[in-house]
Amino acid sequence: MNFEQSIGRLEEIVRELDRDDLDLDGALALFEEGITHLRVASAALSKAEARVQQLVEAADGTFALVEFGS
Amino acid sequence: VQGEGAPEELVAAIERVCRWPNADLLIIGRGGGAREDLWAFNDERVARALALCPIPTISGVGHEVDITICDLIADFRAATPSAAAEMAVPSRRELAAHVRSLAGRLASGVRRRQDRGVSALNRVKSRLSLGATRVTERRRARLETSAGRLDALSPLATLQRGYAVARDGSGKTLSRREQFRTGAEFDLWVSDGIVRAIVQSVRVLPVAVSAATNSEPDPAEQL
Repeated sequence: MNFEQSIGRLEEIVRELDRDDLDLDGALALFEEGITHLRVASAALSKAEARVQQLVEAADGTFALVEFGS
Repeated sequence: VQGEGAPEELVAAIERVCRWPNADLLIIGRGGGAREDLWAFNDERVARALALCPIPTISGVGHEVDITICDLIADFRAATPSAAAEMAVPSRRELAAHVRSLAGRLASGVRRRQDRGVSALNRVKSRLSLGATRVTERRRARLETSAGRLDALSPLATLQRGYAVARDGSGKTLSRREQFRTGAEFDLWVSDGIVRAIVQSVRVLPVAVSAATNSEPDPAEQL
C-alpha cells in the first residue's frame, strides 16, 4: 500500500470512528487499523522527505543525484 | 622571359595556368630590365591569351615607369612583381589582428551565453527545491491532521477511564457471559497493556445494574 492509499484509508477510519453507533469492539478494530496505516504513511513520508533533502543538498553543490538508501 | 620565342612561352604559360583547376589568380610579371626585354608583354598573342584567362589577373611588369599592353589588359596593374604579390594576399599582420579579434569575440560570446545559462539554472534550481519541499510539507500536514483526530477519537481513552475489554485469543471481543467458560483463558485490554486472565466463575450482574443497563434482562435471572 502506498502513501496515498494509506492516508486515504486513515481518513476514512477517522470518519467512521466519529460515528456514535460504533461499539467499542468495532472502534478498537478500526483504531488498530488506523494506527497501522498511520505508521505506513508516516514511514513513507519520512523516506520521501529524506530523499528530497538529499536531492536539494546535491543541487546546491555538485548536481549529483544520490539514490536514497544506496 | 626575353628574346625570340618569349611570346610563345608566355602564351603557353598563361594557357597552362588557365587549364589548372586549382589556380585562383594569375600574376604575369617580370623583373626590371631593358625596354626591349619587356617587348614580349606587348605581343598581341600574349595579350589575347591574357584576355581569355577566366581567373583574375594581375600584371606587374618591369619597374613603375614601364607600361605594357599586358598591364592594360590585366584586371589589376601592379607597379612591380613584388607589388603584384602584395596585392594578391592580405598581410600577415592584418590576418593575425583579425584572428585575434575573432578569438576575443568568440570568448566573450561564449561567456555571455554561459552567464545566461548559469542564471537560468539557478532560477530553476531554487524553484525545484521549493516545489519538492512543498510536496512533502503538504502531505505531512495532512497526515498530522489525521493523526490528531485518530488520537482524539481513540477508544483507548475509554480504557483510560477504568474500563477494560475482554478478548479471546483470536481478538474477538467477549461481551456476554455465555462467551466465558470456567477455566478458559482470555485477554483483558486495559489502558496501558494486556492482562492474561483465567475465568474462575461466571454470574449475572446485580439486578439494579442489570435493569439500568440491559434493555432485555434475562427473566430467569431475575429474583
